Amino acid sequence: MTGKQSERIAQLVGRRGKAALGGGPKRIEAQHAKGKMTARERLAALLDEGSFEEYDMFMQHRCTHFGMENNKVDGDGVVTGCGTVDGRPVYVYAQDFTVSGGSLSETQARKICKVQDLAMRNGAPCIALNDSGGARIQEGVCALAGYGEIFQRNILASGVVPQISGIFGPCAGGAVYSPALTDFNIMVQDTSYMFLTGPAVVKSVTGEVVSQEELGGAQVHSTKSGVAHFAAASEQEGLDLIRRLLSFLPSSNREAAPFRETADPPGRVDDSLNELIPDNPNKAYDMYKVIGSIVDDGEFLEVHKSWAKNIIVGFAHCNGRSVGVVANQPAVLAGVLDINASRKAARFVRFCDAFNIPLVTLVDVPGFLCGTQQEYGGIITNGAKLLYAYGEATVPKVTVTLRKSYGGAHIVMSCKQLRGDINYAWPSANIAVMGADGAVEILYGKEIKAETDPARASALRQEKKDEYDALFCNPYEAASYGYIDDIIEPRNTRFRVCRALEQLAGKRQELPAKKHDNLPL
Amino acid sequence: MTTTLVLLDVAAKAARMAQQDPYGWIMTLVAVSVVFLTLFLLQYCYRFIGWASTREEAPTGVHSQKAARRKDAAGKAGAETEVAAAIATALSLEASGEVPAVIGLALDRYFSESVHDKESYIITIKRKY
Amino acid sequence: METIIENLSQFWQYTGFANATWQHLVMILIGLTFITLGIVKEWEPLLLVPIGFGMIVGNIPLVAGLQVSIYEQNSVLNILYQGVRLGWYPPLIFLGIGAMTDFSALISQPKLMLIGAAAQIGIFGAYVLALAFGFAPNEAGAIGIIGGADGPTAIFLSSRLAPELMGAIAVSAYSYMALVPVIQKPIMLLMTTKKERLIRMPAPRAVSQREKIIFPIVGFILTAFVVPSGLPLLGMLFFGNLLKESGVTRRLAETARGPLIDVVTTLIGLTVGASTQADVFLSAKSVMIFGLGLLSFIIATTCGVGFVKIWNLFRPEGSKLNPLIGNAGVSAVPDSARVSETVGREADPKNHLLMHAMAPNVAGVIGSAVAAGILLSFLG
Repeated sequence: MTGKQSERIAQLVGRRGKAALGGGPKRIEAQHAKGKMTARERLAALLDEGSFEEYDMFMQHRCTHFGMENNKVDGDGVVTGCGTVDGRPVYVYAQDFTVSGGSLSETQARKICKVQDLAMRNGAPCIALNDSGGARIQEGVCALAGYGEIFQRNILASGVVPQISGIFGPCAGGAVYSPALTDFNIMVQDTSYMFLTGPAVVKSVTGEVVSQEELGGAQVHSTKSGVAHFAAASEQEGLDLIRRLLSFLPSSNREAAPFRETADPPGRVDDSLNELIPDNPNKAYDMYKVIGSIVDDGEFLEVHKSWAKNIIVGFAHCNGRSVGVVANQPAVLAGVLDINASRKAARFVRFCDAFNIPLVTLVDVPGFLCGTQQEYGGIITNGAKLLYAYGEATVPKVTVTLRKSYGGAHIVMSCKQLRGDINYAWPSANIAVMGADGAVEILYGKEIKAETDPARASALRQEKKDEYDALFCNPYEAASYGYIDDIIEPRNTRFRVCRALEQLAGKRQELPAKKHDNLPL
Repeated sequence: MTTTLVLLDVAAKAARMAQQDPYGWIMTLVAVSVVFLTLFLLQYCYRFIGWASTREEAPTGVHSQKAARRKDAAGKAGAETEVAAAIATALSLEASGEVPAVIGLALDRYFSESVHDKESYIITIKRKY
Repeated sequence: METIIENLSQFWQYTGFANATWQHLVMILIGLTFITLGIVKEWEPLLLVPIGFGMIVGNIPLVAGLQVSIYEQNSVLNILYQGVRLGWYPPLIFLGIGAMTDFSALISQPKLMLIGAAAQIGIFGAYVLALAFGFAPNEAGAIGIIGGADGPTAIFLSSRLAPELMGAIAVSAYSYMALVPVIQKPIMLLMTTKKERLIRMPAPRAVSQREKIIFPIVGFILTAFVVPSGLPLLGMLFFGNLLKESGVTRRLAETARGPLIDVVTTLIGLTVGASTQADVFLSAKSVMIFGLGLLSFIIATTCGVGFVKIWNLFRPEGSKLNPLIGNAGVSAVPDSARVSETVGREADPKNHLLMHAMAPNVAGVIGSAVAAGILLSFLG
């Protein structure tokens, strides 16, 4: 090497080293003191070792207001680039809190937009690790424009490549819209929070006194609002969760999710399922047991675990194929559908449909939750969201009705008429307009009222209930019309579901040409 | 000739029996009592042996827990014992055609205490990724 | 010329055609019937085919002095017949039976042995009836043992007590053993209520190897002390079982229940069949023997089922026995146990009685050997 070249190389190395330190060792220490990792540390933990290639490490902001021209840091507070997770390319950006508090500038936005564009063009997921104080005030409107550009790309990429947002620090104000638009949000306990307006402004406007944690911490968003899909106990756990989540997803909507080889045979029989449904129809059981039994190795990545617990959604593998599982949970609110449950499931179903992930639905739903709170809250529109999602979905849909499936809720939960591909029912399935209690009141209410002797009235009611039960409360009624494809023994569920998914692997279904739908939002 | 002597002996005894017990009630009574007594004593012996063997498996101390576990295992092993015994009978009946019947019975019991829906449990579809 | 005709006529004198009487022909016909039943209908073919063929052999019309008849000293058939006449074939068969029987059903539920004891009342019921019909006590004893439903025991006892009736007794015993499903089922259904047939019994406990070894030793010593005259049968039975269970004499056990029992069964069938002579077989006595044999089975089944019903009267709810295993005390192993199983399954498809029924079934083998011993000591 000539002297000059080696000098230049040394300069490159030096500059890269300095850029890698972001805001400097002191700020890095401060970050660690809060129990947070730096941006680059997070990326190192997230991506496969040695896979990360950083772009725009030397990009700098162009702001000249407020003396910013003297405060230029290489990279400008965000680390962007390409790496791999389990050997599959992903595009990442991680905001660097040590540089200007990670605040978004026009430059930062341009860096982020670049990887978003690359991700879309090259068909790879885009992962955002948010840790930012918000817009850089010095930049003014340019920061807002930057956000706008990012959000536009979130919108264009939605349904094209998986977009995952990890909230590892503050995410406030307008910045929250990026995670709001992405497919999955992961928050970390104690260190991350999201809200549109912070506690200070809240206090001044409404007088409400509330802490950051209470207003928008991981707990709040994972249990109350449903904004966060996952709540991790630590940043490492959050990053591992992102890796795990990616293993169920394809890299883009142009391909299927990767197969995961398993030793769990598809023909595995589980006799405990034969014993699961209690004799008393009002007694609950744990739907997790069914899910655990039918998926490969019992591994189930649940989404929105703590929100709308009356429905369970998540990813699993069946015979190596990635599937999205939607199941009513009879142990919570008897498994009824309410506003939150409908929204939770609807978004999940639409995500799976967008990314060619087959759906396995386990049904035990007595109906929709009644009451003024639900009705005023628009259960009608929100229930319609789930109905719409299932009807629109063109991925293979395998449905197993375990016990109850009444009325409108039966239709909503991936029934045959919503283009359900294969609909199985357990012998305990109970597909009817309504349960025996309600039906008897309607059909024989007058007769029962006419009976003056209370003992005879209740005997009559029981007799009518038994008649109704015998006639409708079994799967054979629905099967006789072809609305159920087959009635299966519970212990064979895994085998039937796995085989159905194999049969449906080549499914192609079209939607009528339209600009886009008018989903009842 | 030994046989002739034996037969003469028999004839003599028979004549005596005919005299003493023309209707055969005494013989019946005695014989049935002896048979019952013998088997009664025998079954007592075996009950004792059985009790002694099972007692040995549970040393004093953790008695109830082990007994409960044994009961549990016996419950599960109960069906298996019957199955095993059925199979053993089948094997011991090599001389006759009951073998398939008893083995079939054993297998039927092993695979189900109740009726089950039949499945092939194999997926024959070849994946073309 | 004349010599030729003389020779020819002399030759003719020796042929069966010259000496045939209608009795011979009838016996041969009966022999053919048994062979047909054995081959076509598969009724106890291992016994009916040799017996049937033996009947033909024994009833080929012969001239005395040819030294081939079974009753002629030192003829081949006679020598083979010694095992029957002197009674050492049946014990060898018992050796094989002991070596092939699994007594664990019995060891794990000892009280079911008493059902086996109860069924042996059939033997003595037939004994009493036979006496009433005019048979001598020794003959009656030999006829009664048909109710023990044990071929070797029947042959053993009748060879000692009434050898001339042995043919009829043996044929009767084996025929009814084959007909056990037909004979027992109606009695079982008649004597039990629907509710009783549904009784479930708890599964028997597992039996250790040690217990299975102790069983034949203790069993033999006890029964032989009580009934020493049953020594040959009981001794061979328990000895065979010990060979099986000891684990160290596998070769001997395999031979006993394989080649040995096959050889003896062949010879015993053939010679018993050959010993049937028309004059004794085709007589009123034989008809009575057949009738009494049937009665003995009926009485035995009734007593077995009845015993369980009486037993149930003294047992609390929950530890009752299913009366349908009572018939298995009639020791036609394993046919009567299988009858219990089928009738039990008809009442309740989930109720498997086979293993429970095996206990009285094998106990009946011991019981009938003990009964034979008693009869022998009184009458033999």
